Amino acid sequence: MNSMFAELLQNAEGRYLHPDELESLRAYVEGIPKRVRIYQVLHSKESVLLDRVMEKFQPTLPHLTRRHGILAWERCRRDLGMVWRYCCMAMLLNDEDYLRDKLLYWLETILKSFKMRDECRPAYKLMLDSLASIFTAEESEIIRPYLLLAKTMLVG
Amino acid sequence: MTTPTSRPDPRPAVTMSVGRDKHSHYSYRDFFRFNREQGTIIDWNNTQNLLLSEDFIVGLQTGLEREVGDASAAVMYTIGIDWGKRDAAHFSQWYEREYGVGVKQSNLLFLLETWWWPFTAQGWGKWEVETESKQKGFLFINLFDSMVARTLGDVGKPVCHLYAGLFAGFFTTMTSKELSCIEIQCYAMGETYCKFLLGGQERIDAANFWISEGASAREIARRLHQE
Repeated sequence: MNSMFAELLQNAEGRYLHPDELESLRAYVEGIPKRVRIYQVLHSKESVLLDRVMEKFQPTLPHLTRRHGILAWERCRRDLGMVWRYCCMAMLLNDEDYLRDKLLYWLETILKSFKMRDECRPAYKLMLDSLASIFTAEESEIIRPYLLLAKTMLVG
Repeated sequence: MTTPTSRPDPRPAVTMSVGRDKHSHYSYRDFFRFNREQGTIIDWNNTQNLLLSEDFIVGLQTGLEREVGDASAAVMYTIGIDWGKRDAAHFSQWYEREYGVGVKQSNLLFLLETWWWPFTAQGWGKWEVETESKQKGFLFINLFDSMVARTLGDVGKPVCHLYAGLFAGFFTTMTSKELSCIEIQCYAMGETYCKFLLGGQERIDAANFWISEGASAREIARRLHQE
């Protein structure tokens, strides 16, 4: 559940919702059909996006497997896919806190510990740059803030 | 405060939205399992948790000072060492269970981040380890939002002795070398974060002497790097 919505219900226990609270609830509910539809598109085109990113990203790090082992590219794609899925879920819920709490706070420290922020930065830029060529303007713009948040926290 | 428990893992009885193979499990709802019937809070690593108020921390500190005076710092440090040593053993088990690889075979910084994450989730604060000097036999740990310092406020002296002991105990067990730790900068002294020096006893004694002469954390770091 959207964390703001959950907090709203918690705080409103034993009383009626105020007009502004009802309005934000209405806006959230009315936005759900659109978010569900876009979520399905983002899901169906995940591999197209990742293929595009990996195709451009791999040549920029020709020595990655030497430094991080033969599974490095497989793990890279897996991690990018994981970030994408959490972004999609956060978009569906209209909830950036979900993305931060469930993934980014943790992954941020893990990337730092492997000293991989600089290496990974182009991949997130490529993801953002590829949105417009794979998705419609509406789809791109609704997912972009979440992907941007992930990029900012993970690789700066 | 946390202690390992011998209770069976209660999670199978709880509907899990995520599998045990999920590593990013430190959000409040993922990490803790509240069992109302037993009155327990068990975390992801099957550790018993207790919720404590800031009043408890203040009471512990002032009560201890009343009982043993200046020795309270040493008492807290010693408790921390024991806790750190026990936790190192517990950590080695759950780390291997979670990642399928032993602690000795792991990337050091990843290992350390993984060790500290449960503490972060429990409210002990975030940390950052400076390992640039580890070849010289020491390292610095920066701690943000120390539970103890934040609670006690600006008292003009280091107060995070429990943390210093925890670091000393943990690293001593993990490295099989006798290591000590001292807090060289504390939020309770008006600084923005706490800073610890971890190393052999001689270095810690030297740092302690420099602190008594009024040296800042930056000066201590500079002197150590010049050695």
